[in-house]
Amino acid sequence: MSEPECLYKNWALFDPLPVGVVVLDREYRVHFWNRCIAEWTAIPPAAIMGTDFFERFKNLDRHRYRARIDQVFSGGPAAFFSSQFHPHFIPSRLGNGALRVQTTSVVPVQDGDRFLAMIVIEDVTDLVGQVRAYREMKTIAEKELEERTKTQEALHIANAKLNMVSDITRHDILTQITVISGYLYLLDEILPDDPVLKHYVHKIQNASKIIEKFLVMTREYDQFGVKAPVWQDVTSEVHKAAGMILTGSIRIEINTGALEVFADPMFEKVIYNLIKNAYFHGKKVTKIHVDFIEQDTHGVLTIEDDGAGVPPEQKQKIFEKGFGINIGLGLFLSREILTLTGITIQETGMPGSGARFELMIPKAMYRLPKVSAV
Amino acid sequence: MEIDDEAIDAIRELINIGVGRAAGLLNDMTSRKIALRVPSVRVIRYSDLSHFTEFIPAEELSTITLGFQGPLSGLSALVFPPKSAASLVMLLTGETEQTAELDAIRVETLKEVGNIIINAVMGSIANVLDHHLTFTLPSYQEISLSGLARSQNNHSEEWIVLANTHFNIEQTDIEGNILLVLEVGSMDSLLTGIHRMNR
Repeated sequence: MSEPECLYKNWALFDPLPVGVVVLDREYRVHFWNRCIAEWTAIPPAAIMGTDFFERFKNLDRHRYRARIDQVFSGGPAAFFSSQFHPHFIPSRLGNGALRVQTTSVVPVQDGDRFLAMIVIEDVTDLVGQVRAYREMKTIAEKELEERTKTQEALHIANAKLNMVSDITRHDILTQITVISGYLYLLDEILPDDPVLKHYVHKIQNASKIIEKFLVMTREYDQFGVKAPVWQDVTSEVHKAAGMILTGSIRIEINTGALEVFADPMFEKVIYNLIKNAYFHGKKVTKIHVDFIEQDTHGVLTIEDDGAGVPPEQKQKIFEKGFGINIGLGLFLSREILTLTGITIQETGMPGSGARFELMIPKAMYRLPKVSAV
Repeated sequence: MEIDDEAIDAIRELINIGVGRAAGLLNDMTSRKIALRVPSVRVIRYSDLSHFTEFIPAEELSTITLGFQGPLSGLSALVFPPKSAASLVMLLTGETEQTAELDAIRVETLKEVGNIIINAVMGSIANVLDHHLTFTLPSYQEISLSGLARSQNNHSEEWIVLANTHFNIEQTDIEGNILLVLEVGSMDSLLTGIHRMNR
């Protein structure tokens, strides 16, 4: 048996390992070349055993490698070579032609009174690919977040400016409407008792009152969609609205527990509108019942009265802009406020038995915090 | 046993020789201008560790460790706050991503940097000893400095060498620590070696 063959037999234990294993002696001669590294490099052990390692792999014949491997031959600590600085320690190609990415450790192995250097090479191509893909995704996400933050800031500033402009405009228009109303009153007083002229003056007075109502309404809703949604306690919102609208003749029942809804801060206006509608349009309302049930994909908050109800042909129209006795924006804007956090609203009551408004709330947009016992 | 200033100076000198060699290797490997220096070294008895909290951060640190056995037994480590560790790797590799994060690739790279520095320091220390040391494989973990010191035998007679280490890479400074936890009797071996060398 030749010397290289004899040496190979001693190290054959490392042949089945799924990592490249190479053993060098102090003269940098190859003592062992395992099956894995032979497959990776297509260099059979017989072709490399006993040859000069640095002669074969000139990329490693540099001070930065020799200095660290020499320390191993002196019995010093192992040397570790990362994939970022030394991706192809012993270059080898994958099936797709790309170079295999490696991490390498050079470990001292005592052999009698001398030390050999065992080079252990791991294939980390997949791991490195995954980390790089993750980094790319992270970079894209960070850029998108940065862009979104900038856009949000710009929108916030633009919104504030628009609100300021609309505030000033609304104030100026209301002043002019007050002037118009004053002159119309005077005109009404001094005009001859002509029914046609009086009719036109009253028409103009009504129109200016409607314009005033619209402007008041825009002031009430000017924060719509401006502030971020927040969690709101349904019971306290219902009590607040009922306290402002209802008289003692109407009983209110709330059965929503500790329900909180994630909605635009104007959600309180939605509750106010629904209770106001029951009071003003229900005609014979004696009771308003507020309830909540959970279903598979959402929760349903209902506000139900025992009044006149909504005729079938109006069930959709009541949510349209301009419908109703007044300026017709209450339920239209209520629906828009709810839409901001994915909540839908519909009227499902029986005409003659009362109105019933159902708010369909997505799972993520409501919560039922546990109330601790006192 | 008392450790006088002369002994501390000699230990600092040994560490400086090691980090000087390491800086040379890192320069060669990365083609970047890297300067490493150890401005201060503290030698603390394990039982006095709690009195030095101002030098020993409480948070978990990125740590590359190497155990050793022989006339000198214990553990050596290079430690950084995780953000500094990621920044160090990114400076060395020339990466320009916005946020410095220690992912699997950067941990491997940090392990190599730590391996170069610790090996050089241990090589420098081993040179003053008469006997051969055996070493474990380098490993990476996130642990507090006091946790790392406690991971050894926790004998009150153990010594801890804490070497504040400054990296200057392309005009950016990064601060870390080299830590040596020496088991009972190891400090004697080291001081004996130093005295023999100085004779």
